[in-house]
Amino acid sequence: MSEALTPALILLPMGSALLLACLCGRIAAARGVAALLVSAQVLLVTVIYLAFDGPRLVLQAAWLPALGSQLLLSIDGLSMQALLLLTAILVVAVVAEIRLQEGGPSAARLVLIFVAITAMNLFVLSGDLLLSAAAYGTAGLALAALLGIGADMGGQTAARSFASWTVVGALLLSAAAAILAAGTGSTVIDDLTHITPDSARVAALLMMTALAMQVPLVPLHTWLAPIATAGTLAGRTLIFGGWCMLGAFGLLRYGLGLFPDLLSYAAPLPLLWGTATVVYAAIVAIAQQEQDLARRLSWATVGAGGLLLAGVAGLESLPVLGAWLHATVQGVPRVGLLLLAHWMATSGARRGSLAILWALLALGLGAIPGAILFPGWLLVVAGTPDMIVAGLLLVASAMLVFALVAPATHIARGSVGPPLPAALSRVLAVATIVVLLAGFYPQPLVNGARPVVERLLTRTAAADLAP
Amino acid sequence: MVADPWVLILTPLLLSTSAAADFAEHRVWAIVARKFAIAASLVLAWMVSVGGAVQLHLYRWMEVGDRHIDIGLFCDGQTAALLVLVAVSSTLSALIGGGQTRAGGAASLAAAGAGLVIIADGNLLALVGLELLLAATFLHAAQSSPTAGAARRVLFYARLAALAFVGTLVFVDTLVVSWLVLLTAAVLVGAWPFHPWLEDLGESGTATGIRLAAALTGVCLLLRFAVPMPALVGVVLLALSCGVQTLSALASQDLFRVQMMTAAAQGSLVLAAVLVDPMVALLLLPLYGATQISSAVAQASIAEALPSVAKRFVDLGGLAPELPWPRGLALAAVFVCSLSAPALWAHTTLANIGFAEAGLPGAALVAILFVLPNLPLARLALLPFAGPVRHQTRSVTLAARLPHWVALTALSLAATIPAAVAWLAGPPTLNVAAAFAAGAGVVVVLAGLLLWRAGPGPTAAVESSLRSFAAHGFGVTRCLQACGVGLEVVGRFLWTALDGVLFGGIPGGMTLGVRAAGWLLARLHDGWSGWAVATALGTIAILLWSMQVGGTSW
Repeated sequence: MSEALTPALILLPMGSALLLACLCGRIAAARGVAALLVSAQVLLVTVIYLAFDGPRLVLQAAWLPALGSQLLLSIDGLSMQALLLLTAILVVAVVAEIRLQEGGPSAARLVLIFVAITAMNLFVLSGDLLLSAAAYGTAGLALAALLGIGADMGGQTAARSFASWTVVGALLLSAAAAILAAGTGSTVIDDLTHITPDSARVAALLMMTALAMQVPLVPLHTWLAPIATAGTLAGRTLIFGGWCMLGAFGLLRYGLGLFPDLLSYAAPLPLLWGTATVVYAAIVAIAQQEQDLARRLSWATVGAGGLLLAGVAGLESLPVLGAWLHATVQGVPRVGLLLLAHWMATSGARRGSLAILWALLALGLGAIPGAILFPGWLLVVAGTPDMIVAGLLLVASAMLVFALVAPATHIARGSVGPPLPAALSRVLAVATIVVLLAGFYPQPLVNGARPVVERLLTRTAAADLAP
Repeated sequence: MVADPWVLILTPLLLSTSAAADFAEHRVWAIVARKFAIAASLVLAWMVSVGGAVQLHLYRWMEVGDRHIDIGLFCDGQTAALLVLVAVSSTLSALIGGGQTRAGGAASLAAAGAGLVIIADGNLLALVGLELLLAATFLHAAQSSPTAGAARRVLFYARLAALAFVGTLVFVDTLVVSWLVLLTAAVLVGAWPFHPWLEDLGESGTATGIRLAAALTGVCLLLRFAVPMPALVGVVLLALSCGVQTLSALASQDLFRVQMMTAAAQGSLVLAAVLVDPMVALLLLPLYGATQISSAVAQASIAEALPSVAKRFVDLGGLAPELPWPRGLALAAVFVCSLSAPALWAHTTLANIGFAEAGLPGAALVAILFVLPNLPLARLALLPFAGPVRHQTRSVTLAARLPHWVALTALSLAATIPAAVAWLAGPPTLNVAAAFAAGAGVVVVLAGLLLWRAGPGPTAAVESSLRSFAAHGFGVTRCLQACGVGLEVVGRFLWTALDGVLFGGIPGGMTLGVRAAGWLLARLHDGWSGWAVATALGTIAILLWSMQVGGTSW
């Protein structure tokens, strides 16, 4: 059943966007329709998840025969988990737009939310590199528009900057696809795995740059901090929760999947790059002003990107699996903290209960034991072969937790501001419970991602054995 | 009889319930839950003593390839004893806390975390419990610490403890694990230089409860998770920590600081005892816990009686007639700590080991180490209550006065009976330490009596010990006071010299490092002196390099 329903993951949000666009700005109706469509999307993903029993090719059609590109959709354990997270982030983004956005919801922004989700789902399901590049560009531009529409000057500047970065990223990915197509006559990922390393080096570099911008990794991270503090709430939610996670997905699917030999060849540079990113992010996060919660959060996001690369660079099943688990699930606490930071910044509220909520979510994002991020974090750090690098990752992670939790001392001192809006408190309560309790039984997550990771690493082993 | 898994988890569960009740401001339910927690821990202790140790596998947390981590529970005699101590200390500290319900909730949550660490079978569940304890500690600090900076320092040490213990899951099967567990335990008991958080947590009873829960957790972690390590290095480091903190306590004027430094010194000693003889550590834990609670009660009484007077030795005196029971409690704590039968048993056992390892000097060193932290405790118990009155009392009702003969009898019994028991019961090699401990006890008792006999002095405020000494001339009491003044002067000098470097702990060291780096950088941009510093640094670097190249050493 999952093969039949999976294309609906693209068609439903696309149709939702069209339907909302047809409402011609009638905001009351748009709000109700958006809520219904989100419920349908949640139902659809849940059904597909329950029916999922292994990797499947769900759609194959010719697209650009000259380049050997196809409209190819497939689903596996990694994409299933990514889709679940994207759906959760979609729910939060719609709630943020309808209930929490200053000035009320906008029909245009609701349309853009669904457009962005369509493109992001396509990126996750795509089995063709050129199709992924198209999805990357579409999602990026939709998110940039979502970020800037109705925002103040700072938000519009941040949106323009984000749009520039995503256009560059899409061009880099497309160029990589074109180079690979010239060598193999196809852009389908399964065909590209047989490419010789020499002809793939430039393409790998271009692709790595595009994905490093998306994750993001130092020094390609400068677009993130302005977005943390400006722009519409739904746009920020989707970027922090979904866009960065897609970078992690791309790094595994395209980086590790296509160029394992180059990753081995470049070792230990990727590991050092990832570690340097975590350490740098930790130091700069602590240096941020304590009241500037969103900036601290943005540096924690950069640090998480570094940890991801360090895990992927391990090229063994434990760290790679850990990197994926860590990158997938952190969208939930990160978005919760982002919404809370935004609300405290706009309302000026400070009190003990807010400090507790902030500290709990920050500890969750910091991968404390018991939290959902801990299994992934542990697998990455414990799987790192070099003790010094493992120690550095350990210390830098602790510094990031300190940087995130320390503002609670400031938030706890005072009792001012309005009470937390009901919608936000519900979202945060659910996020906190999921984040803090799901880590007690992580085996389903591990079981879902492990076969795909092992398949990717089989290619690595094959590449290592090749003369 | 085999302990049921629910009985194992019951104490932490009840303590969590108590925390929830405190947070919801249902004080009665919180008290009831704490009392039930004590009962549950006692039942478990009885079941374990009858049926033996229990180990329960709950479920497999994660399995990847050939690596897997399980979650389970464990309870043996040591565990049961620690669990009883956690439950009792949580209840006792709540009695000092007064009406601070949220802070009480944090203390109960910390105790629940400590309970989880104690019954955990494996690092992972212990880590979860530790995080619960640390989160509660930070929560308490964020709401109750005097400044945001203090709360931040508590967070720093909390994260340091968590970082060290999570390292045991990362560096599995290496010797690093033992040192990481030792580091975690050192932070939790506040051994130097990881002690500033003890003070930053505040003076309330709930803070005392959290400190005790943290100390019990630290001891438990070292008992359970440290694989065999070179004990001598650890013992020497912890003994040094004890010495530094006792010096700090003797040098300080602030009553609360003295109590904290003593707590840290005692914590260091318990950790050292864990490395040598775990049974001794288990004996010392309740003694030191009782001491800390007694001191906290005495200080809370002083604060209640004199709300506007700074709690410093120079500002307090002659409180004995007004606060006889707190004084008696503080004195009893000193005697319990130094002369009670468990204390003497523990001290003489360790002295015996010291004697076996290093002869008479070893035994003497051990005995001195265990007597040292009692000196600041005796100071806490004696000085605020003896001598002339130095303040205008603002208390409304005075506590009942203890008759001299009752106090005298109690002190004599406390001093002599345990010493005699230890002397008679111990093997010959124990007698040295027993004699030392008994002698120290007699000195403390005599000092106490002499200061006590001075009674309440004139009601006019006296500014300092020195002025009091000059005004009243010589005598046995005055001679003792003169010794005290001398000690105080030396201590203050040392304090001024060392404060911020040694006693400031890691933040102090970091501040010094930053200042030194700033000074060096400034010099390097400052004409001839800059050149001089650069030349000196260059010469040192070349010397070090040449020694490394040539294979020579210092």
